[in-house]
Amino acid sequence: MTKTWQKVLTASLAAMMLAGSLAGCGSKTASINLENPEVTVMTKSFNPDPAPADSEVVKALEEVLGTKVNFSWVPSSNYEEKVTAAMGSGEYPHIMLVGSRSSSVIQNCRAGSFWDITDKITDASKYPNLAQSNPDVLHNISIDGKVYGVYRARELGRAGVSIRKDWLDNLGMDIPTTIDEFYNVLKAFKEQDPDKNGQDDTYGMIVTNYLDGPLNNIAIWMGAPNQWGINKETNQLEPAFMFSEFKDALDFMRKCYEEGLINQDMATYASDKWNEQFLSGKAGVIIDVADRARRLAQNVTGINPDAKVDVFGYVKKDAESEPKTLPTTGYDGFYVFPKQSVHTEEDLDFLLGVLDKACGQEASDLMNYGILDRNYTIEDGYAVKTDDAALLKEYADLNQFAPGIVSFPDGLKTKYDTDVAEKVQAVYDENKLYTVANPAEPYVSDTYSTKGPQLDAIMAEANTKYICGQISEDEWLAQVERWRSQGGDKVIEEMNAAYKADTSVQK
Amino acid sequence: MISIKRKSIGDVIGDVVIYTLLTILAIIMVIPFIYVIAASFAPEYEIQTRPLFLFPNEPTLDAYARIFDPADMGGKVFRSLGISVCVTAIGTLINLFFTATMAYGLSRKNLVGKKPLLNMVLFTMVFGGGMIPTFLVVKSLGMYDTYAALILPGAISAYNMLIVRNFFMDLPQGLEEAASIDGCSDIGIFVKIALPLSLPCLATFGLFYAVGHWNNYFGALLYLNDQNKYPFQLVLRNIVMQSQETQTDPNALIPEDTMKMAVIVIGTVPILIVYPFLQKHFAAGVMVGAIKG
Amino acid sequence: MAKVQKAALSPEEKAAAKTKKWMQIKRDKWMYLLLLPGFLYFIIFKIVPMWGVLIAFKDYYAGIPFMSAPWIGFSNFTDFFGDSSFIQLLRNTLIISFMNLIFYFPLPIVLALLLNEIKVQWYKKALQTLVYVPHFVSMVVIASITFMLLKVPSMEGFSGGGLYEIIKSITGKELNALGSPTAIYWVLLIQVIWKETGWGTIIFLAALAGVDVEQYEAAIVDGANRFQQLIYITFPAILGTVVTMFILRMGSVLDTGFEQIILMQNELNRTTSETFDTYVYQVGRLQGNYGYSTAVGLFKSVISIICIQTANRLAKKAGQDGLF
Repeated sequence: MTKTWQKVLTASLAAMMLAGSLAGCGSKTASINLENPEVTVMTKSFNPDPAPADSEVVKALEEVLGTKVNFSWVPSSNYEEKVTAAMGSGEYPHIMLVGSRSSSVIQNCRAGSFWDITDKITDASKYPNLAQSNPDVLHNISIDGKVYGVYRARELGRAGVSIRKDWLDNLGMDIPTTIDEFYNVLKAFKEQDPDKNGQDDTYGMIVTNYLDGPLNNIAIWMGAPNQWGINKETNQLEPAFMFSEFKDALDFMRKCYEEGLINQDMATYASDKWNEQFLSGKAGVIIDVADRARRLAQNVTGINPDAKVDVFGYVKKDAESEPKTLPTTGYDGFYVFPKQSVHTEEDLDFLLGVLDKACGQEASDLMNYGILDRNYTIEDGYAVKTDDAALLKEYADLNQFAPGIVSFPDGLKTKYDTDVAEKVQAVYDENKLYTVANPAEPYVSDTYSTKGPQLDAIMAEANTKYICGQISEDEWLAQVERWRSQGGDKVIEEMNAAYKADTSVQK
Repeated sequence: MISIKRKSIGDVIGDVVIYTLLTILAIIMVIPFIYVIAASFAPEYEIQTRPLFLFPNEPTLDAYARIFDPADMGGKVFRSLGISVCVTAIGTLINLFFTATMAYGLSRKNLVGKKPLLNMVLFTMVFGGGMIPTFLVVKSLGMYDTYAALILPGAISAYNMLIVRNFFMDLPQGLEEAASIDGCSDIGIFVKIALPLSLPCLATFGLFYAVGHWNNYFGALLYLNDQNKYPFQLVLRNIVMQSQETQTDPNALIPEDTMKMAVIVIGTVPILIVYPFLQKHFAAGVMVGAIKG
Repeated sequence: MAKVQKAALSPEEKAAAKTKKWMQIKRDKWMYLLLLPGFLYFIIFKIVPMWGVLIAFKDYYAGIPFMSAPWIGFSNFTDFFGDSSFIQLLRNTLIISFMNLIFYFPLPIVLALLLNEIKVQWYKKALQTLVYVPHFVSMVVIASITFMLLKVPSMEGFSGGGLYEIIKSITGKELNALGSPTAIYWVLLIQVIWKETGWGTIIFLAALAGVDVEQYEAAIVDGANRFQQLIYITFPAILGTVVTMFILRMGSVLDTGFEQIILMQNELNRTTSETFDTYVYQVGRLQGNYGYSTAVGLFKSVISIICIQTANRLAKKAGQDGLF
């Protein structure tokens, strides 16, 4: 028995070593033929059936971009695995979307697996569109101060509060503008029968087990930093929860919970059922992204034709203070150019040129709306999309390819059928003016890359239990200490080292 | 079967208890699936606001209309279903061929070299190289972006093979000896005697393999590049898992719950249809005993 | 077994043994041909990729050439064992796994035995098909139904989930099954029972179908009642299957899967429900730290081998054949 095991082990070890020595030699994709170019792009898809290669819109887009484009659409739900497999096997496209700055992406950038485009992306003479990249976002996606990708721009000011307008009207109240007013609205939704049915069957705000969304928004309103902040006394980076304003937000939510303004099962309330109690008229406020209001408005009329949904971006701490809003990171993944498939700088320049054109208005309209008078028409200055499924499919998910770095304020706008949808865009635009940036966004902590999930879990648990009144303030502070001792201090140290080494910010 | 003329009172009570118990169990097992079916016919807001229900208040065919409309999702759904059926059928045949031949080979007593082979199989049941090394093998064999990559890397499940081998070892020795005296080679015995006798066993494992192929999305995700080659489970998963993604991307299309339910129904029904046809082959048994050295 | 060959043999005996071996090999040549496809399969798809376990000893991230990733010895392992949450993870994993073993494992056997007692063939077949259905319902849907059933009321005066209300009306207890640190174990267990019990009966039903009908006839003639038939004929007949399934099950004693647990996790039960699989999922998949997750996988494999061997030895001691 043991002897045969040994034999199996030796034999397999030999095979392993042989195979191991062969591994890592990825196949070499041929250089791009600049005469008759063909570019492969790997990006996310959300549709079960993204735009096919022979679609008229894709052909038109290829015309604009000056190259044939082969899309490799990967379902978004498993995008990370596909990227890992691509990186592990060297099966690279020319342009690859990476979803996040995960440890493996960072290690690959450092090891030089992807082209460094720091100097190119700001070259306005060559890439007029890419050069308009938001410097803050470029800073956010940078690794050790270098930029490796073209980001997919996303709405910075996406945060927003959905609210039952008809309830406010019933109570004779306005959209709140300060935290106190916000609290009064929640209280009135609970106690003053906002639906006028004579029963005590409503409450203020729905909070789910995805506590971070509402909590971080309220913390920002209170004046806390976004994830990380600079402690003014020590000039050190510290996580947001170490600031007293964050504690104010916790106390605010604790009070709301205690008074029954928040659903008492928030810790176990599944976030995919977030809309449920809003739609069924049990509660009237959701703090999340502004576009949620659009969806709520679409669905609520089926249940209650009188219900009206409104949306606002933020409330101020008090009447005198400056507005503050929680921004997104401003991007959703970025396109990298693997050296294994992009061999020469010439090829790289060509690919950057393609993405530059993809940011232009013509390409942008094609990807978002398709071809005029085929996939959409223009009425009163708005683009009206066709409802023919076959025509919609022609450009399905092409907007996922669009970097969208340049925005066109006078460009096409979608015509929505609810008023609130119009308002969502206004909320985005206003939020953008007051965002609180995360100063530590570009920095990398090695400790966080292995202990991150565990560390995050400590604070998430502490925050939830504190709001639900299960632990006292002292116990919450003890959890902060636990966070520090289990690796948090090391994370703080590494983040500060990266912060000190970063010459691009003024300290 | 002999007919039992007199049943004791105990037997009757036992029967009543067993029948009732199993019927209740079966209902409990099936209710959630009935909910899935009901929800696939319900309008979106009904799913959002009504807890568990077994019949929609306002039944609608909207979700199915979209899924089956060739201009909409129909093309994709039918193509991917076709691919899934083919991959499952061919894949299962290949599984059974590889599994049965190897199991039969290993069932011969005193075969020289059997022991190390068995140990190798047991070893691979516990230790594995992981995703990337396997990917490299598949790629270097030129199977990347081909259906072979969905079938060959999982051609044998060691568990199943060992159990089938066990079945072969329990076949009556006399039959094989008689055949070999009649001049049959080992392959002849395998094809003419062992295989026919083990049909029920192969039907059982055929079902396991087939369900494995039908439910497999991960292989397709890793090894296929061309979305036109995607099997149904990947399309299904893309619809069902989507809600977790939408928080990050306002441009994302949000599939409705009713759509999710409808694709789950479509993904399950084919297996439920095929099952009764396999079931009749289970009449004779498969013994899973020791793996004799 | 192998000991026979170890005994000292004279040269002639050795030569004779060799010729005999050759004779055997020649005789079995067709058997080797039959073995060939499977053998090649295992070499190509299982043994060749086995070099991947070496990743556990490297600081490796997908995309970095394997050769240039630095060797770091056992530091992935020491990181893992030295982690403050290691004991917690081990404890949670073992609780979930052993609850599964104790409460779930026997159920498919019981259900198969019960189904076997149904003599009306069409009804038996119908029941069988029905109990397989849950196997095909995806975990996401099961999780969402669980939430609906067990939800506690959002506010005083609101109604909770269906099952919550039933439990409350029977026992008067307000059970927060989704938000208590220990209740999650039972929720996970019941989900598995619901989803897999029916499907798990297949292998046992197949074994039951192989029991010789004549034995029952003889037993009935001898006056054995139903229960005695079960104890003395049916159960011994499938005992081998049960033992084999048990030993195989021991090989996955540290596997809990991640999808189901992650779907049911929240801040009130996370510390008690985080297992090796959910942890590796987060560190390995989401962060791409491949070396670390391979090390955890290797650790799990070693434990599996030990468990399989132990279970096998115990089975043999108990007079069963064992797996190998």
